[in-house]
Amino acid sequence: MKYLIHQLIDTVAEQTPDHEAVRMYSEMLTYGELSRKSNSLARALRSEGVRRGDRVGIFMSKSLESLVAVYGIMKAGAVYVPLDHAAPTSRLVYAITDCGIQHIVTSSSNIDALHQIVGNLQAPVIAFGVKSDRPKQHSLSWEDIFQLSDESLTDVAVIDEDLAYFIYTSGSTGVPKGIMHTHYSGLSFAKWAAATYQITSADRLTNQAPLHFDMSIFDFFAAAAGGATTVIIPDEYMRLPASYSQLLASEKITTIFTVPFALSQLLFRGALEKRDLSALRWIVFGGDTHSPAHIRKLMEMLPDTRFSHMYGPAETNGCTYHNIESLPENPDEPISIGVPCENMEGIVVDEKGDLLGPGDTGELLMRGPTLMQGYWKRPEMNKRVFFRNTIQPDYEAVYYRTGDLVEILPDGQYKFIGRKDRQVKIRGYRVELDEIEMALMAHPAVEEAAAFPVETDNAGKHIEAAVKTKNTDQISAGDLIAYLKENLPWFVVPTQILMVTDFPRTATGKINRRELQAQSAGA
Amino acid sequence: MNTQESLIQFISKEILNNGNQIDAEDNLLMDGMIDSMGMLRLVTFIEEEYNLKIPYEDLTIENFRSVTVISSYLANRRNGS
Repeated sequence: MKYLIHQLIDTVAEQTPDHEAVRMYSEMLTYGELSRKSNSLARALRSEGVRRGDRVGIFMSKSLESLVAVYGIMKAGAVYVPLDHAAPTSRLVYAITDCGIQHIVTSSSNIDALHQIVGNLQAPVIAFGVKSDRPKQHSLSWEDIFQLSDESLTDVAVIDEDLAYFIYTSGSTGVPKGIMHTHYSGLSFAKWAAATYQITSADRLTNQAPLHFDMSIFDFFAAAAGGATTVIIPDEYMRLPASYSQLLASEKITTIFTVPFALSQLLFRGALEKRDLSALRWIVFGGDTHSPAHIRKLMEMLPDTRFSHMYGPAETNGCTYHNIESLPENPDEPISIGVPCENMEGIVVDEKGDLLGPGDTGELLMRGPTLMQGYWKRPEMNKRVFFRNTIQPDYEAVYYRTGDLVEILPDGQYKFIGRKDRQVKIRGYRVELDEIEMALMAHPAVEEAAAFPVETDNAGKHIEAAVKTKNTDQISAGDLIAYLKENLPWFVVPTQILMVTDFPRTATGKINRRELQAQSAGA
Repeated sequence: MNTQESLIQFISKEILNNGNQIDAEDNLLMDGMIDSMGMLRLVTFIEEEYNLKIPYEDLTIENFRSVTVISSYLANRRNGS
C-alpha cells in the first residue's frame, strides 16, 4: 500500500531499479539511485536532529540533487520547503524564520547566496550538500552524506496526514504565506494525474517549473506514480523556444505540463515545423489565462497530441480539468476549465454563500483529498479561506474558497471569469497588485502608487506601475525598480514605472487604474 | 561603438535597468539575467539596429548565450553565411 509520497519512488525502485527517474542535460538518476541516495540524505538529516514534522529548506538551482533533497527530506519524516534562490534576501529570511527552518539542502553554486541569508538569520542553520569553509557554518557535503548507509529507514514513523511540503506564495498584505500540503494531499493529486493522463513507465515528462512553483508537483510526483521519467528543462531552454522545442524532440517527451505563455512562445518562436514531436501525447496547460487563438493554432500544428486545460490554485494542487475534444465555435471564446477532477467536488456560490446553478457566475469552492491543510500559522486566514458546511448532522464538509469567479455553463462545465480580488497571473506566477503598491508606498519618497497589468500581443502580460512622489525628490523610475528588486520576487517587479505629477482619477477621487492600463496598452 | 559594446549597453541599461554590469562572456540566460520578455526585447533591438531578420530557428542557446556568441552570430550573418 502506498500512503506516503516517497513510497512512489521506492516502489518503482524495487520493481525496476535501473529505470530512469530523472534527467538533466546528459546526467540522470535511476529510480534505484534516487531511492538509495535519498535514504542516505534522510539518515544524514536524522543524525543532525531532524525529526518528524520539522521543516527543511531546499535552496538549490534545478538539479538532480534537488530531487534527492525532496525525497530525502520526506523520508526523514520532515517537510520540504523549496526556497526561491532568486528571491530577495529579506523574503527568504522571512520564510526561513516563519516556518522555523534549521536545516537547508543546498549546492556549491548556491552557497554564497545562502551565506548571505544565514548572516541575516537569528538562529544558525545546518547546510547539507556542500562543504562550507566558514568556521561557524556546520555543513555536510554529499560525500559525507553518501558514506552513510543507503538502506531504507525503518525507524521513522510517518503517517499520511503528516505534512510533506510547503509552497510559499505572495500574500496581498505583502507577507508571503506557506501553503501546507500533506502526504495525503500530494499523493491524491499525483495518483489522479497519473490515471487521468495514463502515465506509465514509457512516459517522459518535462519539468519546467522550479520546485517552489506548484506545477513541479505534477512533473515529479505524477511521473513517479506512473513510474515515468522526468526530464528537467534547464532555464535557458525556456528563454529560447527553438532550443526548448529541440530538447522536446531529442528527449522524445510524451507529456508536458506548462503555462500558456510557454505554449505561445513555442507556437511563435519554437520553429515547430522543423521539429519531430511525434512522441508528444499530452500537452496539459494551466496556471494562467490562455489565448484561445494560440491554443487552436498549436492544436492544428500538433494534430496527434491531446490537449488538456487544468485549473487549480496551489492550495488545491489541481482541482478541475478539461480534456479538449472540441473547441468552442467562437474562436475568441476561452477554453473552459472543465469539471472537477474525479476525486473532487466543486460548488459555486454567491456573496451570501448561497448555491448557484447553470448560467450563474459566482465564486468557485472546492473540496476533496488534494486540498491543503491550511496556511502555516495563519489561524485567521484559515478561518476565512475554508467554508464549512454541515451536510450531515455528524459531518462537516470543508471547502477551499478559490477566490476565482466562474460561470456555470449549461453542460455543467466551469468557465473562468476572473478574480474576486486584485491578484493577477504573470506567466503562471501569482502577483498581488496590492503587494506591489504597498512596497512602493513604503519608499520614503513615494506619495501614491498604482500597479496594473498590461497585455501585449504574443508576449503575454507584464506589470507596470505609476508613481507620484512626495515632492520633486530626485528619484528615478530606475531607482524605484532597483528598490523593489530588493524586496519583491523578480516576477512581481514592474517592467516600467511611470513617474507622474498626478493620476487620472475616478469621480470619487480614487486612482483610475483602468485608465492607466488603457494608456499604457495604447502607447 | 562596436557590436559587443552596443549590445552590452542595451542589455545593461534597457533590460537589466543598470542593475547588473555585464561582461561579454557572461551567461545571459542565467537566473536574474535576461528572462523571456527581455529576450524578445533584445531580439527586436538587434533586428532594428542591424537591419536584419533573425529566423526563429536561429534563436537558440548556441547563438544567444552571451554577448560574445551573439556578436559572432551577427558577424556570420553579415558575411552571408
